[in-house]
Amino acid sequence: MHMDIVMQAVEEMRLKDPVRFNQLVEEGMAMELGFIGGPSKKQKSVDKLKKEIFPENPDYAAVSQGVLDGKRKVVEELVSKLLGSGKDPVDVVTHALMPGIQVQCELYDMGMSYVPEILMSNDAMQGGIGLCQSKIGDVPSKGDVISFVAEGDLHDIGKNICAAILKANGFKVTDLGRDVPKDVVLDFVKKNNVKLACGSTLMSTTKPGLIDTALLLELEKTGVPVACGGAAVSKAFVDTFSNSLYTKSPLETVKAATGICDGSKKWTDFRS
Amino acid sequence: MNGQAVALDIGTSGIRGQLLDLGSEHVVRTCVTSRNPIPGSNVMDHLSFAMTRGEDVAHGILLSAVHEVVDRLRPERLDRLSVCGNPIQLSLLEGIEIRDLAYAGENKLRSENVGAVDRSGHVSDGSALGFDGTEVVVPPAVRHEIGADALAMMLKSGFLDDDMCMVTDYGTNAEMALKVGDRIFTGSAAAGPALEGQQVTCGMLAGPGAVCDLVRRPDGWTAMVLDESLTPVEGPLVNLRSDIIRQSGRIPDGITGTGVVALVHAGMADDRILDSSIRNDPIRITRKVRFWDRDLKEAGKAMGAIRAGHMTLMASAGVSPEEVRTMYMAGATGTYVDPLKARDLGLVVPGCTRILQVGNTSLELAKDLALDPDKIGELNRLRSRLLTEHTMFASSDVFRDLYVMELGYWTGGMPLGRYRRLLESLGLGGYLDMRADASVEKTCQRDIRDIGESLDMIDTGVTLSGGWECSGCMRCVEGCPEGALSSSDGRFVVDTGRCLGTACLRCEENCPEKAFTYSCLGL
Repeated sequence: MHMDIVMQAVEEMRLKDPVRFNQLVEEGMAMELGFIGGPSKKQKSVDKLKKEIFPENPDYAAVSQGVLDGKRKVVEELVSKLLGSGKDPVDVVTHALMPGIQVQCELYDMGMSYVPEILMSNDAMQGGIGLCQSKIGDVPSKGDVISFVAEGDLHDIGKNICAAILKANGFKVTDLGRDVPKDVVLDFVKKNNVKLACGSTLMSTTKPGLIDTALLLELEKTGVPVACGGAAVSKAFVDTFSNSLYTKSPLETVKAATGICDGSKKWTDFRS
Repeated sequence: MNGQAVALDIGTSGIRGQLLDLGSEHVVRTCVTSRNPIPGSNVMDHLSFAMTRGEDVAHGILLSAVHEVVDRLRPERLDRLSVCGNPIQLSLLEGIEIRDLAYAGENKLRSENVGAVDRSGHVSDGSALGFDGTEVVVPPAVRHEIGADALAMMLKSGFLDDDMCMVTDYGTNAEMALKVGDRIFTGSAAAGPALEGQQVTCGMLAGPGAVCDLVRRPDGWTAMVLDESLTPVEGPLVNLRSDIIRQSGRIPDGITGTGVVALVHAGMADDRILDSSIRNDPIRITRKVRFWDRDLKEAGKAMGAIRAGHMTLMASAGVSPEEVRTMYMAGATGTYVDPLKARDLGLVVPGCTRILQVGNTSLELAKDLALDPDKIGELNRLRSRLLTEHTMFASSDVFRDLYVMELGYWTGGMPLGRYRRLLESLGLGGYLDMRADASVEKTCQRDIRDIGESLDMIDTGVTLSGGWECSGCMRCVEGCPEGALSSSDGRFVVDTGRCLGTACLRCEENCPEKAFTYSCLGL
């Protein structure tokens, strides 16, 4: 296709939907999403996505829809019914619950859904996963990750968004909560097969908690780095101490977690 | 000769002081600073500075700024000094424990062995603060989070004598309270300084040359600009739809907090701002004064925090927005902003039928105490009687859900329709579209009710300085985003009022030799 036409399409999009445009540029996905050739992903409606991703079994699809709508009660009810009728819990997680959040994430990537909706969907999915876990223990994941807010701080909106998006991308996330002392992180890391700790803080007074945690995990030779984020945290700050990396957005955290959990990257690869 | 007293309000964005004549109880003159002298742009940064550099340094900076203000007021004989403000500034001034204010989490307080701190009101000898022969009056904090400034806001607005009413101080840290019968629900939302004209590209504090409002004309909006006596005069005419500007009247230099509110309101009314983003970014007022999409997001976060805070208080009290009848707006922004525009943007509870703009209540309380220090006893009794039910927004699930939605709307591009539906699912449907017929009363024309014979605006001259061996490449000075750093003869000097403190440290970062050491700078 001629470059002019591509540029025209890009320009058109910039005017029509600047928010989405900026998002795409940021994530470097403008090309990937098919401005060049073929129908663009954006034109796919929610229905089409559902058709692609949702399970065929109507009982399973109802669960996926519940997750997509962010209705925790509905999901829990449906899941316990499915489990009661003898369905395999792992199957319920992977083929009933996950497709719901997958559609939500696709929509988010396309700029058609927003963070609050991801959080609600995640909440609904967690309700369902909780029921399944009580049946079988752990469900398969891309890797074990923990999330926490530094000691002294209670602001956890950012951490929750990050944890939800990590979960939606197939990681097993254990949330240690807020106001978490470094020893609690160390203790958990020692007892579990954790690959990455994600710490955040909003207050500038509690930033040292992230340094202490990263250094303690290094000193104790756990091999677990700390991915740092949050309003008070900047790249320059994270660059001042070792065993740490800075992730600006939840999507960057997902990228880092993917590399670190599959063993292809170390924390040093994310530092300049 | 009558005795004299000085009343001070130490706020996050500056110090306001008034000299009072104790005999006639009149204000003699007023002096305000353009900034808070401690490095940092919000209270958390102030605390962070005090903890990393030592509280004595922060105390020293604040104290010398206070002395500067008092000297500027030229008291002939100073009998008394009364100080009101948020607990952080007051504790730094008195040099008492601050760690309980620095950490929100219990674990950290326990591991640092921080016990309960007594912040009841008291009258003490001024020699500890360098005011020999002067008594110093400090009002009580209700408790940990609700400082003397919040007490002043409730006491000096008329809020406590009313019912089903809400009061908010529209500052960097927006204190708010809701009164239902005898019960008072309080909270404080970290709104950020956008509503005071800071952290906005062309933002400035309210001063000569600041755009403070926009007035509808048949062919656009006339920007109202503050002149030398801080009176709004007509400036350029801006058509937001066609983006055509007609220069006339006073030329603006920047936009102040109330101007930001007016601009966002006008942008939405003329469809220039759609779904919380600016079309054809930026909005121009002049060739130099522009309002960008990122400024809108900054303002949105502040307005969203206040709206989410209001909704959270009503949810904790179990009252619906229609039931709250009166809104008291305190602080400089609360006094000068157009209340109906503020309401349309969610800064005022939409069901209110009566809106009162009450000015700077913190300075009023300081004034009362300067004239009659015995009121401290009364305040301490009131403090224990106030059955406030405080919602810590940081740990409230309701606030969290609401604020995530506000963030989604203001910074994530979530359409308003989607926000409406999400609110409905929380049982708050219709909040965004509710508009009651409201009457507006201004109980004072200025935020400082009476300025006396003159009003001085000063830049505090407090500096930190130090020197070390380096090549003198000056990258630190050039890279300072606030122009706070200068150098001469191998010594580096930081204007503490402008410096962003521990949140920035770009001077250290930019130094190629790693010679710059912020912590080596001293008073």
